[in-house]
Amino acid sequence: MPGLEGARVLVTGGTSGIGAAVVAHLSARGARVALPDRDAQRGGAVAEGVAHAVDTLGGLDAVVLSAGVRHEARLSDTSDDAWDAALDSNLLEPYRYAVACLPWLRSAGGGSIVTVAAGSALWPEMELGAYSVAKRGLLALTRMLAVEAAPHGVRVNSVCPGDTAPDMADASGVAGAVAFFVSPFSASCSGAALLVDGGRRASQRGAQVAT
Amino acid sequence: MSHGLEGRTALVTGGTSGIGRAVVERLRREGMAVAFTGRDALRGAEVAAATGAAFIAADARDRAACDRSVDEALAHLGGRLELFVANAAVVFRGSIEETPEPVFRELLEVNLTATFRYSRACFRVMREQGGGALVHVASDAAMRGIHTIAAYSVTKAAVLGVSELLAADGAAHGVRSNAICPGAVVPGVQSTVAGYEHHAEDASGWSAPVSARHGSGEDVANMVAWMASDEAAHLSGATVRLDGSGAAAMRGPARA
Repeated sequence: MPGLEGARVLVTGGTSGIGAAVVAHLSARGARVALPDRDAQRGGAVAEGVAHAVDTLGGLDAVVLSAGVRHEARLSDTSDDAWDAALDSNLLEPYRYAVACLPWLRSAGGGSIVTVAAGSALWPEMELGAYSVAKRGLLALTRMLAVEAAPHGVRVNSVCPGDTAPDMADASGVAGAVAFFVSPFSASCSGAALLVDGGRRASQRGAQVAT
Repeated sequence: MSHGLEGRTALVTGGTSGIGRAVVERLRREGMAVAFTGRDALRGAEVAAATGAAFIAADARDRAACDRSVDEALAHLGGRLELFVANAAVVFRGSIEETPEPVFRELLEVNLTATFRYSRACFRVMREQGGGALVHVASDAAMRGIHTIAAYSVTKAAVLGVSELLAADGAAHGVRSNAICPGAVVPGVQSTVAGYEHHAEDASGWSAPVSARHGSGEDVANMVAWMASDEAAHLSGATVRLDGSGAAAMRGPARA
């Protein structure tokens, strides 16, 4: 895809699953990708981790926030620990990274933030209770960031992968959608949420979502 | 109007002022036994004296206090709970970038996590007794997002997920769960994140309503009472925008 050559991109959650597919997809198309230091992340030093990544890349054009922990439980059966972990990884951490990255993107005169939410952010999944709630919050966060970053030429969009097995066919489709939002092809998109689920939602029938 | 709620029981969070107080008053007028929480003991005692509802001091930031308040409410209500109203919330004015992490966390804790934890506890009581109604007071900020109260909007959007998911979980047990998204309600949200008391909403700065007036706590209380009633027996998983057509009439700047 044109427009990715030389793009400097920070990717969270880039070591596995969708994040790893995003890294492979962007790298194969000429982007330069940095992953934040996981120790810095754990130590709560997100700003320092971002600064280090920006230094390594020589600037920052885009950020892909794809880290997130999935927890399978109905909401009414969800423990405090599982709830806290879901909120921390899927909502608080993207907030931390977005806030840490915005000044860099602003000073570069623009850029793109892509959050990886989930189909369950649009329609909650019973068996992914806390995860669905956190992703719904992430989608709202994405839209709020889109509004406030717009005057600075920064676009903020979300890709919502369906509830599919994390095999590479699905992941590469999601990575393509992420790459679209990183690239100038999506110059007119901000605050958008793109569902990437192979048409599953559109084909869903009542009987299939019954308990 | 009576909704046939006499003798039933309710727990309301954040019942010492604003929408919560209006809900407590309305449910008492319906003849319900009501317990309500809040963090201001003086206001709580005043509402209790005026309505005959039981005040339970609990700060929504304190998880242990929240857990205790559910136990105390059940003790007061004779062990049954037909209605839970999640109303307590705090506001902070600013963009996401202007929201410091401790503030973001407190908004999450009070508006979202406490709502989840109270709802979970009440859901389990209702599942055990074979039915009940959860009502979540969210905000039109949950549906459209309001960039001047950005982090608040995020927490309220997530509350809609809590409400829908508990509707799904409760369907087989007679437990209903619904959300109300009030638009501008005078005098606005007065409870703030700690240390940001000056962020309380000021209705005098609001643009004029497109309908005859802004909303009131009584408008929300009316909807709560109906959602709790047997007339709403088939209502679950619903989100009701209650804003006098404010959002429907909203236009982009170019068409304003």
